[in-house]
Amino acid sequence: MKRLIWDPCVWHRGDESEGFISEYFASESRSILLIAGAGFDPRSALLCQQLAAVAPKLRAVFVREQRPEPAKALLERADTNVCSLQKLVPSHDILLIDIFGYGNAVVGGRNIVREISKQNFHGITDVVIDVSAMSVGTSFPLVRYIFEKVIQETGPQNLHLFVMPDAVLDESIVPIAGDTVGCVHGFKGGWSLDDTASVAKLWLPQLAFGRKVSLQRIFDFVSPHDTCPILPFPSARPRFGDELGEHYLMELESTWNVDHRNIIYAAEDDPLDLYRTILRIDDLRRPVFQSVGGSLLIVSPTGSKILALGSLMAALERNLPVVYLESVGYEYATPATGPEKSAETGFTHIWLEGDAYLNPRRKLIAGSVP
Amino acid sequence: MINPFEKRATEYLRDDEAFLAIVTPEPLTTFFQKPAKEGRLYDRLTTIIGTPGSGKTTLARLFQYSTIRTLLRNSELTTYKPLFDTLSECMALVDGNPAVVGCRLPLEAEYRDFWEFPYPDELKIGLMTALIQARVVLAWFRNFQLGRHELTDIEVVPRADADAATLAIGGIDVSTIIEKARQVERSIYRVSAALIAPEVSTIDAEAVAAYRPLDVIESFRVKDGGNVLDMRPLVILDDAHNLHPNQFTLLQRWLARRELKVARWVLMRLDALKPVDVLTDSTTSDETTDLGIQRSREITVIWLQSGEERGNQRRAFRKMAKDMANRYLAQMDVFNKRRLNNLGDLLSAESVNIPSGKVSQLVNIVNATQIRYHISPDRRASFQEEIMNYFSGSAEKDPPKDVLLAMLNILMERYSRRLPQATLFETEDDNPDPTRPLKADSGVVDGAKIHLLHRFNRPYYYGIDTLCDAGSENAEQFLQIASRLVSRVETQIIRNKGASLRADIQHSLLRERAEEILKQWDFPHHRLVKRLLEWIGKQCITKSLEPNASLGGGANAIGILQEEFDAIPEKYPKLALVLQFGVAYNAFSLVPSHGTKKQIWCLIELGGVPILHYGLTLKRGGFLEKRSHDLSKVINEV
Repeated sequence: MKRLIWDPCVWHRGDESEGFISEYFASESRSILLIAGAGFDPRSALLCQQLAAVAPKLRAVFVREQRPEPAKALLERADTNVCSLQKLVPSHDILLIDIFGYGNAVVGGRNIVREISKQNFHGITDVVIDVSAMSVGTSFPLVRYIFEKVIQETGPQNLHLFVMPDAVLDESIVPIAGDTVGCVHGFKGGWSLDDTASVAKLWLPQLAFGRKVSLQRIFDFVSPHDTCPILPFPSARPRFGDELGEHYLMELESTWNVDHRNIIYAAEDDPLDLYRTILRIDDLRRPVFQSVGGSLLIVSPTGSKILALGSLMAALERNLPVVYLESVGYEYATPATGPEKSAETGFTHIWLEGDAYLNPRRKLIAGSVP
Repeated sequence: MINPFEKRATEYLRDDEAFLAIVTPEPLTTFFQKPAKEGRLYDRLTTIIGTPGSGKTTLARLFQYSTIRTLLRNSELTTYKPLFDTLSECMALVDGNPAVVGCRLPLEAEYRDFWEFPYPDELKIGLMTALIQARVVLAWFRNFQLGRHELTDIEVVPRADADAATLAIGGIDVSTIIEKARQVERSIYRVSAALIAPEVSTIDAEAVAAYRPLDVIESFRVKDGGNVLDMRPLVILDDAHNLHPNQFTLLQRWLARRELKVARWVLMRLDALKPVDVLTDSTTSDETTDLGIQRSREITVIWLQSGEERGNQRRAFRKMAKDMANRYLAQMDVFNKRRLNNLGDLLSAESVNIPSGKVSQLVNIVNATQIRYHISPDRRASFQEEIMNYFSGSAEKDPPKDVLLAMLNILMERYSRRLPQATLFETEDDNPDPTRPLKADSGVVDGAKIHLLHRFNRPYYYGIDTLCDAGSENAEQFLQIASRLVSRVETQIIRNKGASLRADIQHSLLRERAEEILKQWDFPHHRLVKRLLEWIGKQCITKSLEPNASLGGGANAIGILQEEFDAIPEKYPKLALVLQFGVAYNAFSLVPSHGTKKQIWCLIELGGVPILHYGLTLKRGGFLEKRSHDLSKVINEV
């Protein structure tokens, strides 16, 4: 089995991450660039509040994802969040990112990378990306861009990912499916190349409520040879995985034809659990399918942001295609537990690259990431 | 247990033999046979347009060379005979040998990405067409290999006047051509997959422009046993709706060039068109387009659904849907073991009448109508006689009592509206004749059944033809709706409760399924589409429940004067977009140029699923006159 890049991995959750934020980012030697979503998501300002309270040198880039004809209530929420973010970090830029171009073409990934590449990273020691209030189509290319800068030593030294896990909140944000399935920008992973025409495709969809139509369209697009759906377990709600399985019963049994032994259980609060599982599957399949065209894992992160981070890390390490369906809009019903409840659970922090790791590791990554 | 109706099995079956066993040749006969016989299918650009799920990809797969080879290997099997004959009629097979080498290339979102590059249009389209051509070449040879040919048996026949261009594709040696195509694909892929588009100066634009295999290759000559086959290459570009409109226009212009010897088809969804094209059906017109080419002469357009010859299309779809359903049933063990291979036989067409208690209520209603309009017993008897006369000449010899009563009620209501105006000097006549004679016909029967559905919940949707019509001529929708009926029949069989599904069960299952599908709708602007549907649906219900059933079975559409409708894209762009997506996802269908009352209308007709949901007639033609600004108000555009 190959050595995993993020094993060991420096990461924190709950109280540990609070401690890390207040100690590490409070240092005078840290010059921090925070990149965070500035949308309607109630989690938008939580990390910013904590960093602003402790970090002496803090600059911020707030990403405002713009989708056609947003609901008025969501727009108002986003405006309120932007105002509070602006007050928290006076030195900031707001990036208005159009997610859709003409004719509903998905251009968000390209736009965010183009805009972020115009930022000045000179003197920045740490880039902190808070993906809690960003969509997959925006956050994944953004992370990849900064990550490549870090490992090529052309940018900041450290890259941190933060997410405020809140399964209930993730569930209460229901996306309205767009029309075009495709790979996340920067995560094509050889998809559609002639070399991959005869590979055995294994699709790893992350199941979530309210995503049936999206996942079905992704399935049609991927047309996998096999499907291993990902269910959250262990989970704060012990039966959550079962409920999801029941919700997708028709798909699992008839449309996707999933063998029950192929279901992947991933710890709801541990991105590394899913990361390791995906890579283990990849390692096991590669030699088996080598002589018959090869094997290709395709990930589709929907729902829980924590699990999406696990998929992101696996995709970064093995250059896996990430297939998704961009949302044209969202519906949001305030959950019974508000953001205050989320704040109690604390952030999950992953130190993706930087001083915490030995130098040769950086070279290892440079050799692995195409 | 797996129910193949739950998915489009044709799209998920990898094995060609399994695919061919369940695919029905009917759409080929309906849509391709005529242009093939007229010689318009392979010699020019052919554009095939349909809604999602209308079977475009299935059709494309049928013309792939590997599929055709599989068919030929099994041509002695009777199962494949109809397909073999149909493909011969479509000129894909000539004298039992393949005449075309088809390959399908889906134009996924990555092709659209080229339009986002910060390059001049010429370079963007050049990169895209070079990538398409490289992949088409690779796909042709992959098809040859899947068709069990050795690459050494294949000869590429180039155009005589294309020496330089032939060199640029790697000459005529097959392995060199493949290697060159791979190189081109990889070099362009590196550009398209990059996080940040590389500088223009780093791209070898000349090399990209020189790579033109579609201009070079005229045909393939293949040794096949003792024969040598000369075949025309066919490229099928699927999902062209993903492209930017300008990009699509340039691609069309590039493909429409007459000098190309390769057959080329472009498959796309309705919503790829500009709203004006979807709403006004203008792609079939004879005008010179913005491509600078005359559509009817240089492009063959095939609509998989259109407003033309709708009666014929419905009949053809019924035939296709029944065939498809029967093939799917054959995949299910429970049915196959018992030789239950006809879905129509499993769906009872015997009506279920309202219970006797409710019949008494109905009798009271009819009596009240008679009293209200002072209708004499003789007149009532004449209506009853008229009704019985109608049935004596129809297939239904023993009409149910509830329908007879509801029909009688409608005739009495009509009678009351056709009485001559009373005058001051009128003599007392308790039995005046109507101004126009009253007639019992199929419209009155349908009206009566719709009234009974809404008043007494009498089952209305049952039988195989109803199921087919609810499919809105869309294979996927038909399968989605049929799946529940099939599952229920399967359960009945397993529980030894007989294979035939009662009308009332069919009716409830179909309506439940329709509601479920509507709830699951998730496409751009679906909320506004639903709002529009709700508005149209409610008005159609009110019209359909008029006591005199003025439109027979009632309305299931609204009509806007054609002239006014044509102005929608310009005057109400948001409404145009909502209608466009509604049409694309089978919420509505458009019937342009519908002549009624000496005026030309465009009908916005509800799709099968909304019709089931609102409890309207599936018979076509009944509509309400509306204005475009009424619709616009509904979606808050004005």
